[in-house]
Amino acid sequence: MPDSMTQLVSAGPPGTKRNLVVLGDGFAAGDQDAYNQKVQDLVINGLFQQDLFYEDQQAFNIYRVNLISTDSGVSQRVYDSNGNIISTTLKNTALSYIYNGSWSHCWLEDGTNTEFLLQNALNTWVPDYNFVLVLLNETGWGGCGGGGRLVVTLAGDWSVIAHESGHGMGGLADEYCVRGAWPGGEPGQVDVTTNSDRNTLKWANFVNPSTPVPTGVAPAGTTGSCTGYNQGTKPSGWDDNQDVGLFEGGSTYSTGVYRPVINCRMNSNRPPYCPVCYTQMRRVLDPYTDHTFLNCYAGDFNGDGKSDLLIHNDNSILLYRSNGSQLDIVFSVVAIVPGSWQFSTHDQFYIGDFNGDGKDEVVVYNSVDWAIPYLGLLADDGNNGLDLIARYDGSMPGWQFNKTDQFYVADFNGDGKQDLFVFNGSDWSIPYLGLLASSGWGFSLVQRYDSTLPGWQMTPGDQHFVGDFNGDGKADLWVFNGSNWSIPYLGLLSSDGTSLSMTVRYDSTLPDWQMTPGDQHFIGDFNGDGKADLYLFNGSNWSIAYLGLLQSNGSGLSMATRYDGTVPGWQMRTNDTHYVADINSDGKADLFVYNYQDWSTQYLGRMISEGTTLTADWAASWVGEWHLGAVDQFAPCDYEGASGQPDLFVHNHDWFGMISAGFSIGLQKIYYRWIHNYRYGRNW
Amino acid sequence: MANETPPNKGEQVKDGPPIVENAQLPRMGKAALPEKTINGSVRHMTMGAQPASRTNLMAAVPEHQMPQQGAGGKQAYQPQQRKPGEQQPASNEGYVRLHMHVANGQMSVTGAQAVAGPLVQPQSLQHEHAYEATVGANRVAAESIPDLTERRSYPNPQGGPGQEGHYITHASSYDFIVRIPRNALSLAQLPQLRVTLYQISAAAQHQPMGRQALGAQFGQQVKEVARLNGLRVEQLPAPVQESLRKALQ
Repeated sequence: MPDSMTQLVSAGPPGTKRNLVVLGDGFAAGDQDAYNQKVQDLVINGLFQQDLFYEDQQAFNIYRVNLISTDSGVSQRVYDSNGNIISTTLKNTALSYIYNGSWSHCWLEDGTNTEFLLQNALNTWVPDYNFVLVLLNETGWGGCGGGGRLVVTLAGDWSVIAHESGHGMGGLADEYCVRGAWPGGEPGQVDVTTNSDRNTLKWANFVNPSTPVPTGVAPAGTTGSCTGYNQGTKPSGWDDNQDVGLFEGGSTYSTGVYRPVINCRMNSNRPPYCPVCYTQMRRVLDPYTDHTFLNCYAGDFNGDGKSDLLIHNDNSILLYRSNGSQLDIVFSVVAIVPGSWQFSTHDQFYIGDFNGDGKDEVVVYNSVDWAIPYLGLLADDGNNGLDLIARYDGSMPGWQFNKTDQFYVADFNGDGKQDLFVFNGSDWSIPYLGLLASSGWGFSLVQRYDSTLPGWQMTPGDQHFVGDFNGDGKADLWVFNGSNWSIPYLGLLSSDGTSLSMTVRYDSTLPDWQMTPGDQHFIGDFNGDGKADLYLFNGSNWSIAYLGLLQSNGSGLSMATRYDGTVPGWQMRTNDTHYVADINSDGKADLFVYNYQDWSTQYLGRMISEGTTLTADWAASWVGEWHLGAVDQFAPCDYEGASGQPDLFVHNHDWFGMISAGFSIGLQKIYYRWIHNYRYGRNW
Repeated sequence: MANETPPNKGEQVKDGPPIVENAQLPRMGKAALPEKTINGSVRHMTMGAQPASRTNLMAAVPEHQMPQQGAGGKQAYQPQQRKPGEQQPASNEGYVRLHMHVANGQMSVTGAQAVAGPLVQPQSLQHEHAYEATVGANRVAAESIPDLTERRSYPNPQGGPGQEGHYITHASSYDFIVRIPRNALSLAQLPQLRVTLYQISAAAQHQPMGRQALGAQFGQQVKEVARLNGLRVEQLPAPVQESLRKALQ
């Protein structure tokens, strides 16, 4: 059996990631399955299922190198109590490590050529490395770390590796206390200090003003133990791992030096990192995760009525669950989900309840990154995550996927499961429109229109919108074309579940509205009669901006109200951007409106429908601590669920915000670079 | 009367008048607008028109497919998605990995490898040590190094007093990796390559690295630990020479 390498996690090019390499020593050919299982248990199912490592998986490439040792087990050495070698029993192993079982000899040591063999293996099998984990086929206790390397026996578990990673990756200090008085000055690590001044404390931003500083003071003569909360009464609800203060004892000493929390992972391995250490680790890894908040999608993935969040970055996704006021991570995956879907840069996501179970699923489409286009359906895996339940490679019966396929989520057959309209106007000699019905387990084509729809000649410039304009429970299709003909057209095509028919087509004009190419359409039941209506905005083709409320009676549209230049409370401008949402939960669709271009400052407004009219209000420049800007993207959602009213996720490259909007526009939560809920303080 | 857009863009005024965006454009009326011509002619939507070309059509829908509805059962485990058969053009991006060894304050190069692909270069100091590589006056790489010299044994769960924590020693010789973008270093420039290892004070950690040399930027906050002043390839051991030539060819 030759040596080999398997890349267990492939997050990106080695120069853009932290590269963790696992090698084994003393594993003969017959031991390789056991070695593979141990690596899986320690690293993949152990370390990378834990808090920070789970969240930041995308920072890591993980390589497993299988080195075939001639002998099974590693060489042994025995020391006497004075440190003299009593005996050495050598074995022929791939890296020649020697296990000595002695704490003061780091439990193990290099053989005469270990460094050469290790470097040779690394240079042979991996392109680059930052952290090296060597696993010895030895059941005795022990492990030795430092210098970007950790050598362990089979006796340890993930928790020790997590602690050691705090040293090896984060440069963190130990926070346990086994010795007496701290002998030195201010330590360089972020998680220990000799400074007890609240104002200049390294981690002052994480200390609640109501927490005494210092928080724990060692009684005179203390040695061999860390001090807990003894400056006043520990508040109820205090979290020994996540509430930050200033506790005497740390960096292995009991007095004269302080740590941030009572019990961090750098104290006792298994707890998560405390806020100070967590933040340091994330800062160190941040250039390598390279996460942004650019691609965010709202969806209720657990069916609790609250909008959750899916974030896509290159080949990873993260799912965060809303509890009504904040987001917490529930799922993190890099490269591939069971089923299998390999995430990639140009994945497009469409959120909807495609199986009618009350939870949202995810349709993902990629026509750019692979040899052929792929469409996948991801559903709840029963454990807060997603797995692939259907995938179409290149085509499905009756539809060949192509580069510019455009998808629209809509329950066109009224069975309670969202379906897909798909349109392609560019990649073929003629335009196509397909109706892909969801069975809950996948999709099938129930109708395809080639070149024409009933009463409509399709052209590449067709714009599609979905909404049940006749109130029959089946989502219908609205088509507008303002550019390919001598006059603009708007068609309302009703769905009977398997096909479309033209209910009405408007040529050039709508009631009290002259159609022009710059018309922008927003579908929503603004009068609450169960039939989807049309908000129609035009800010570019006339001397002033117009907004029309065209209500549907099921067979046509009529102008309820047209606003010329202003909606009460809002002066309309060319670059107003609209988002439909029932902001006040009265069953009538309202509009969020945003403009960052046309005024001296940015405005985020609400236009509330009273059935046939609108009233508006707005926030300027800032929403709480959120500084509105040109880069902001908005996603209407309902993260508060039944307890609140529809909201907005707002996001850009570095920032993510939760804006509550039901009663007025206000900021609920703001996150920078990563989503983490500190009990006090924040990472900027 | 509607306001003209103020030069300074102005601010929203509650219940303010309409803003005239472009006085050259008309207000919306009621009648249909004049038809525009497309390529010199008027084009209206007509039914039954045939497409001009039928050379690139989607395959016909199978007869039995419509109006059939409902996909099959749960899909079996799928093979991995296929990568494009046509390889993307090789990127010129790459970097060189120099394996540095420090013993008794003396720094040397013990090997080099070329690595394909982009290189992320952190913009701030994070840890107690950092290296800076320069070619002449130009910094070509700098990176923090955690946990460089300390060596720790696991605590002894069965041990007596004194063995509850790590047994800690500090290595007198240690290694680190310098990563330099491939286009920033050539064989000919090796005599001008300088690699400096610094110890970083707590005050300088988390500070962004500016364009200046670390020593100039941080002064007393960084302390030089070891330095390599130029590389004479011909003076290096043969295997190191070979790896350097290969990596920088």
